Amino acid sequence: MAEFSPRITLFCCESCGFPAAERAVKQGYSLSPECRLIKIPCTGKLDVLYILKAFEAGSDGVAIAGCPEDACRYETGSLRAKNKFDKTRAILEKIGIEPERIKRWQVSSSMGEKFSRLLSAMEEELANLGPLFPDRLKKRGDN
Amino acid sequence: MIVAEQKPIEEVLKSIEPFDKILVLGCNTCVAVCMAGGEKEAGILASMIRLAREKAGKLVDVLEKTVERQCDDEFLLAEKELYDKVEAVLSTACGVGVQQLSALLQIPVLPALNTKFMGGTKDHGTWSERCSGCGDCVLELTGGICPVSRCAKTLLNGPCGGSADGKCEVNPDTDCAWQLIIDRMTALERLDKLLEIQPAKNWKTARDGGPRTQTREDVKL
Ligand code: SF4
Ligand code: SF4
Repeated sequence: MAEFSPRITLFCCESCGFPAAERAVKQGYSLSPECRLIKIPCTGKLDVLYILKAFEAGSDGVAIAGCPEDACRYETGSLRAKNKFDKTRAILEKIGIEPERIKRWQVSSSMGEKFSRLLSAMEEELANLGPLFPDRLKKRGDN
Repeated sequence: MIVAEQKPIEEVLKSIEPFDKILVLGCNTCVAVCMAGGEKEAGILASMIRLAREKAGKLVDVLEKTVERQCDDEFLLAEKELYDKVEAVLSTACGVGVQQLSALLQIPVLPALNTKFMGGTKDHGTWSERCSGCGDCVLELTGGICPVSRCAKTLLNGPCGGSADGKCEVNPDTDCAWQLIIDRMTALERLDKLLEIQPAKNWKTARDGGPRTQTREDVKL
């Protein structure tokens, strides 16, 4: 059986998270084809619903990559994201899903190295946890 | 607005346990404003249910729809074809909406919320009880502060002896309604009004007289 490669949806703010991902790639980091980056104006725009939908759509993990709390371009965006993150983690726990499947990273646009380190660690952790829905694994590759 | 909050997800999952195809029906009026059962919250709940059931190995088909108000048949009947497709409806309306829909259908209509009170927005994310619907409003006598819903003892001639430092003895996190009334009547220069002793309230107009119905004959055909 092929090694399980976790599917991760990354919600990245356009000021910090997304540029950090771009920098990581420029520095030579090889992004797994199972990672999907979604650029959003600010992680404060993120909603619990989007995160749950990402899991429903087949993600094994979700990461939120936004600005450091004291350096959010929209001041309170990162704090709002923290609230949504905490709420979603609590929801996952209640419905029997490991809360470790969701991460929140604070990265500035120059932190390509930190971004790749965090993503690699997450991939490893998810690989150990296994797929969120094992029954769906066999259908992968169809989309 | 009517203020409600979502039931614990464990309770919701238990109530829909026997069903394989359900409709989560949101309500876009009061419960949307208090962030308990509008389109977004209904969507989150539907998503939670799908994930929880798949994780538990018991897939469920969850349809989603949100109507303007569940307390009016006209909005509910517009979604008739959806009810035929499911075994049960999980309503994120207040208890009124649940009952209104239940009376129209032959399948179970289950509540996703606990309905709590009639209240107003205190600040973003906080709502406070303001009216108990007593049917004979006394706000004119009390400076616009309701002693029926906001005094723990529903006193009409307060305060009680337990009022201290402006806080209620029943719950020190809550302002004493009668302190608020006195402060407000003082500011309005109407404190003398409070010297009139209010007689015992006739609770017949409130819930104590049994369930109430109101009719406007002039709008009937
Ligand atoms: S006095 Fe009665 S009607 Fe008036 S606000 Fe209080 S509970 Fe409501
Ligand atoms: S302390 Fe004030 S609000 Fe509390 S029961 Fe007494 S009068 Fe009512």
